[in-house]
Amino acid sequence: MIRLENLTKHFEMPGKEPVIAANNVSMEVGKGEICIFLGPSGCGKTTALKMINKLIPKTSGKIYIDNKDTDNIDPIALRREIGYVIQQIGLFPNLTIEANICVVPDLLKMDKQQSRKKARELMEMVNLDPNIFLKRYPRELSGGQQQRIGVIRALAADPPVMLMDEPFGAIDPINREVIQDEFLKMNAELGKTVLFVSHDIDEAVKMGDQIAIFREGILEQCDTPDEILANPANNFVKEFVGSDRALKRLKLIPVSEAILPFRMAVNPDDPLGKVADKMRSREAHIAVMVGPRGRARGYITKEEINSDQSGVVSDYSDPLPGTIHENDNLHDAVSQMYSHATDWMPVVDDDGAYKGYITQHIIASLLGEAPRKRGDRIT
Amino acid sequence: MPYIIEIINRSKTLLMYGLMALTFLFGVFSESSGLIKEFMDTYEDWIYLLKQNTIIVFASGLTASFLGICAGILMTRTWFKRYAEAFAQSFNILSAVPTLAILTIIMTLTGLGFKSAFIGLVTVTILPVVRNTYQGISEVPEHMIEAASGQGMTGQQILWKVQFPNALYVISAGIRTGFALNVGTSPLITLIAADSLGEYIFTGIQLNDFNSLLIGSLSVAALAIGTDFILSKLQFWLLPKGVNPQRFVQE
Ligand SMILES: Nc1ncnc2c1ncn2[C@@H]1O[C@H](COP(=O)(O)OP(=O)(O)OP(=O)(O)O)[C@@H](O)[C@H]1O
Ligand SMILES: [Mg+2]
Repeated sequence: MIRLENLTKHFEMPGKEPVIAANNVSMEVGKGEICIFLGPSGCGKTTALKMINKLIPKTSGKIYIDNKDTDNIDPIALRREIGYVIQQIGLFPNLTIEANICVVPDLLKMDKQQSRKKARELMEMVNLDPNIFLKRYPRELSGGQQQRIGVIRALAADPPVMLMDEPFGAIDPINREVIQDEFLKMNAELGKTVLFVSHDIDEAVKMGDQIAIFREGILEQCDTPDEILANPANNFVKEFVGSDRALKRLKLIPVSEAILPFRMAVNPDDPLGKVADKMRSREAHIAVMVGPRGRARGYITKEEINSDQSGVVSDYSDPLPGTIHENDNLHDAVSQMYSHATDWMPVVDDDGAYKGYITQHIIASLLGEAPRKRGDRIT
Repeated sequence: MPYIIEIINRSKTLLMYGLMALTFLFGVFSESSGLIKEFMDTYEDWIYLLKQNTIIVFASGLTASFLGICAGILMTRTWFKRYAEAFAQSFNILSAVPTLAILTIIMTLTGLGFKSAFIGLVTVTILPVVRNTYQGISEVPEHMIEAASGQGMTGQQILWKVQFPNALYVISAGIRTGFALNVGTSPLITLIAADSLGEYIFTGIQLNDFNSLLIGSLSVAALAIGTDFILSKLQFWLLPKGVNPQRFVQE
């Protein structure tokens, strides 16, 4: 847990007004949570971060880590307990990648064999082959590869707290997505408290349990991503998150939360009359034809049934417009709907079994609602 | 960096051609002038002087490298920062003083002989070593130091694990320059009564004996080339690969 209380930093400029890089910042990040520091260049994100590991002395205020006042902790000991990813990467050119990763474990005199083994695991986690890269030197890696090493170096001694200053800035979009996912997965397991600087709102929405938005040293809003997107505290935040903030919220909601409460699954040999009754009672427009192993095979609409009710479902079914996985988010779902020119989509699970369907209508009504806490289910 | 390597490579081939031409001319010339005969006559002296010369070059050069690195490191310490620039400047001024003057001044303090010569050569060699050490360490980028202290290194650890290793290439270049100056200066120590190959040169000048002069200068030239060759090999093999531009360009 990290708590900042009235944290303030004035950079004294001889003969000029001091620069106020942090102005009475107070906030709290719970254990295992990821908090994203977001804001335009020069707003004080890096400064706030560096005050926590005492690379920059604070002017006033208090910093608590796990309820311990960091004023009373020796800076060297404190820094070894905090993983730090620096904005400029900062690998040591004289050391191999392996030695770079193991800097803090070696400083802490941890078992060498164990730390080297850990280094291998971490390399694999960020998609770099340890057999190829461990014995190389930093300048033999691309910028993005170096940045990934910069991240795992901070993880090597398994610190409970991580400070990460734009850790994924130099990585291409595809690998960035992969690493963001890996990092989220890993942190769900390891439960580290992470402060993460970014100036990419999409990254913040994706990674953060909390987002802290700064402007000129002032903390403008600190809230969950959903709350920030749904209820920006002021015009600055509103403009910063962008006019498409409603669409960004889509990324926060998994498909499974928007599935209609009725599945409307029918068998291929069900008589149309029975299906029509079922649809009428649910006020549904669509029924999905499901095969013997639970897979969606096709669909049938209310209009088709109305014209003729004598046959069975399979005579009239149309091919599906595609499917969407229940763990995908609504942003994926909507873009699939647009690319297939449809206003609904069947949802499937890992085995391809049909779970129910979503419609554009329900998505729109979800977005219209007040922001929800993560995990709330729509019923 | 690549163009530096390019220059080194080119100068290597130039050197090769030069040496070949020189050997040829030398053969023709030495036959006609009795150079070989004179060389054989003074062979034992030559061996002795070469040995003395080599000893004093390496002894003073290594001492100067060690002291120079220490001084250069001290200059980068925070408590010394205020004076460091002034120091660097005075070192620069000192290196503008003619070496003969330096030798003479030292001689007036410590008298004739090996001791003065040794101190004089140390003084000549130390200047580029100090300058390069100071510069090399100061030029390690700020963010690298920040990464080091952010990971919990102490000041000493930052110096020995980050700053010093990353300055090694610049420092070693300073040592090579220092040794080159050292060998170049070493004939002069004959003037303050220390043994060196300079004896051939100055005898040659005094007696108008061209062959003696030639033996002296060629020997000094060979010593200079040999020393730099050894140092360049040491530089290539001793410096860790990550900070050794010669190696990461090649591989
Ligand atoms: N050492 C310093 N001396 C004086 N002013 C400084 C110093 N370091 C930072 N500042 C000023 O403090 C403010 C905040 O800087 P900071 O580096 O925290 O910005 P940032 O939010 O990290 O920006 P970026 O996104 O560009 O990295 C800036 O106005 C900067 O000019
Ligand atoms: Mg910054």
